[in-house]
Amino acid sequence: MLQIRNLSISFTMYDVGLRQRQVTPITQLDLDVQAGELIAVIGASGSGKSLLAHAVLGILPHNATVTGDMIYKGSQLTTEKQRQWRGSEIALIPQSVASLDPLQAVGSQVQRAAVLSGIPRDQARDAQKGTFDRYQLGAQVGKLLPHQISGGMARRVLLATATIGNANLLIADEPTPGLHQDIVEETLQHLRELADRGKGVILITHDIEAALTVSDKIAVFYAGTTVETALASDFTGKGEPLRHPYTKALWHALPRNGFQPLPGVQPNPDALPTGCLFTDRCPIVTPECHEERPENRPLRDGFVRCIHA
Amino acid sequence: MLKAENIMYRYHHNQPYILEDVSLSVADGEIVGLSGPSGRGKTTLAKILAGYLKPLSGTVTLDNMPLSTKCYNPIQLIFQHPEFAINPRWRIRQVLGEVQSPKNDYLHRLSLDTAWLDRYPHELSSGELQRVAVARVLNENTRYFIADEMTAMLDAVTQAQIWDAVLEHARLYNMSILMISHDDALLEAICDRVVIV
Amino acid sequence: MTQTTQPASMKQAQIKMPTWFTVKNRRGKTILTIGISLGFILLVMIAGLLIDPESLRTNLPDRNLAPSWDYPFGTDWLGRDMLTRTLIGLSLSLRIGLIAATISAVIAGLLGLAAAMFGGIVDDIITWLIDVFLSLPHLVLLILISFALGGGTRGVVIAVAITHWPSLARVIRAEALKIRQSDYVQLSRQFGHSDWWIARKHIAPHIVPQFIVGLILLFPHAILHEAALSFVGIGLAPHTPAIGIILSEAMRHLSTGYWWLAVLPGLALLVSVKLFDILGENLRDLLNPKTSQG
Repeated sequence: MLQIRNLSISFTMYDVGLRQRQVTPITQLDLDVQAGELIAVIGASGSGKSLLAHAVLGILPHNATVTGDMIYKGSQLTTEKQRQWRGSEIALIPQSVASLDPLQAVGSQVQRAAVLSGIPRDQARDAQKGTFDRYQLGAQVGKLLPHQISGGMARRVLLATATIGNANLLIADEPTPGLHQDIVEETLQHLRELADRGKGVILITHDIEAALTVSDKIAVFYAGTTVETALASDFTGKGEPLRHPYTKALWHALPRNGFQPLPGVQPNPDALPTGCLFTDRCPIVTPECHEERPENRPLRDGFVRCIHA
Repeated sequence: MLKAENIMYRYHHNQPYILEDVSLSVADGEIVGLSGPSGRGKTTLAKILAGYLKPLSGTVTLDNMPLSTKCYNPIQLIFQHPEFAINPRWRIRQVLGEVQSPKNDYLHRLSLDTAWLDRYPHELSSGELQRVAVARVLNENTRYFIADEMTAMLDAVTQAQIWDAVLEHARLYNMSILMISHDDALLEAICDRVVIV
Repeated sequence: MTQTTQPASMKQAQIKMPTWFTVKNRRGKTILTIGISLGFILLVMIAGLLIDPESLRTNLPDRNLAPSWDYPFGTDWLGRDMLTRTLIGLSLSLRIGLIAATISAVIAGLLGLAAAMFGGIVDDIITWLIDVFLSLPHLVLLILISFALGGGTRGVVIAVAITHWPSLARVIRAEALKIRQSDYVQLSRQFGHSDWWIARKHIAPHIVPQFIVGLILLFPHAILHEAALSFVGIGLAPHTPAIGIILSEAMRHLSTGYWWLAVLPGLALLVSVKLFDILGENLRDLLNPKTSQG
């Protein structure tokens, strides 16, 4: 449904005085999302995951420059198409109730989302009732203000705003931080349901264990690029089916898998190494790794950006 | 020994008590976990132990003496969101320097890049900021380290790195740790014992 | 095939652009705007001081002339050049407004900070004072105080100074309180730092930029109020060439069709006041580390 090839996002920022510099947090990103599939995008904070969501929706700030291809259902995703399809074809599930107007009842905000995604005004109320029913939100919840609803209800309201337009591609940006475990599970289940109904779902998160419970595929981000695309089932045992050394490090860093730390930090977009981006931390680095960045090549039902995999 | 005895606390006299007759003790060098459903007052208890809040009744003692408020508190609390725990107008060098001049071995152990010292907080990611917040208090004066969901927002590798550094420091300096977490596997991997609230 | 908004030659590497001469970028524009507004304001203030008062002598043969190349703002019923009168008047009004606004801002800063730092009864008293002043009708208070003090320059300055500190004080108090209650200040106390240290290192650096911007945004108020008071007759003495006086005198002549006597000085006042506004807003953007980078 969505194919992203070689995506790069740069920002022009001010340094000192009038001097400007370019910062490129995302480079050579590849991603595929199929209908009926839930793909989780895993990465550390600062790896550029949220930027991906904003890029697909066309809501990057004004000083951003985007290169590469984003192809949705066969055609290029241009700025006009993004504006046209925002809400009706491609929708973002916001991170928190902070995205809602604190002074307006949630019911009417969901209705507004419906109208914005193309549903005629007179049908908006019914649409809102429909989604509220689907997510077990009572009619009286619609009259409450965002700060009056509990965490779990808030999550479901945000889901309602995103799904009311019947979008086919849904992007959930970090839907789980700071939430009670039960709500986390419920939220993930709702996302799984959406995928099972034939939608394409991108789940952006740092929590790999949460992602594994509902995803079909996992795309691993590091320093602004995709280093591996794996099946959820590859994450098992000692991580032998995993392809990229960073993915293996992520797996082994989990408390139940050995709690192994990997020294070093993700390189800063200002100072990316030449060659593979993982060279300064990789346990199996060799001189060839420094020469040029590996291609994203297919390997065993997935993709990997490593010459040693 | 850090001891909290018969703590009673509520945020407002119109609300029910969030902590009712709660007692907890952490011995020197011990690593204790605090777990349980949210809303049960774990963060409140942590703040009381670290001196941010005063209990309505009950006592908190360190080696049988009341907590002092004048100098560096040997009981330090690390918050879940490092963005709020750091002054956004200060550069990182100043942030670290608020406690002591940044020692190179801690910078290294927590993988703090020296390039960060000249940056502003909004230029660092949450993982990097949390390392700064932790590095700030890892010194010989901190005897009790209270971590309130310290790594809940961080990826697995950063989580392992930060805890590795903290545990090593704890071993070297006999620092005690009280950690609040909902991640049972994490608690099991780190703690000597776990208290469920 | 690529969806680009930049030429294909753009590389991923850093590009440091020398921008001293390129003003297309936002920060350049901001700084330029600040420079121009500041420059213009200073120009007006100084020009007014330097103009030879002799040029304001009555010159009856040239009275009531419409704007022309010789007299860009026309002349008044005594033949005096309106441009000169406007400049002198504007300069005077700006300077008086400045003094009044500065006194007001200093009061606001001290009281706002005191309320936040000391809390308790000090805060209660100051907050009560703020509420009282803000609940009284602004213009009425201004007129009453100026009238009670006998008008004139002293009356105007004191009246404006006393009535304008409450809103800025409230802002400063709120900002100082917000900082004081933040996690990082609470942490600072746990590190052993005193209240005074915290005020110096944490609160002040945050407040100072807000204070400066608040001060600059106070000027338009002060200036306009001075003009208003003078217009009504309880401001500066009628023979001082302040803008308010000029406008008030011009009112008498409106029916005669000599529109330039009121419109042009009025526009000049508007533009000057707006420049202060622009200056304040741009300075605010520049001083905030979050907005100054993108």
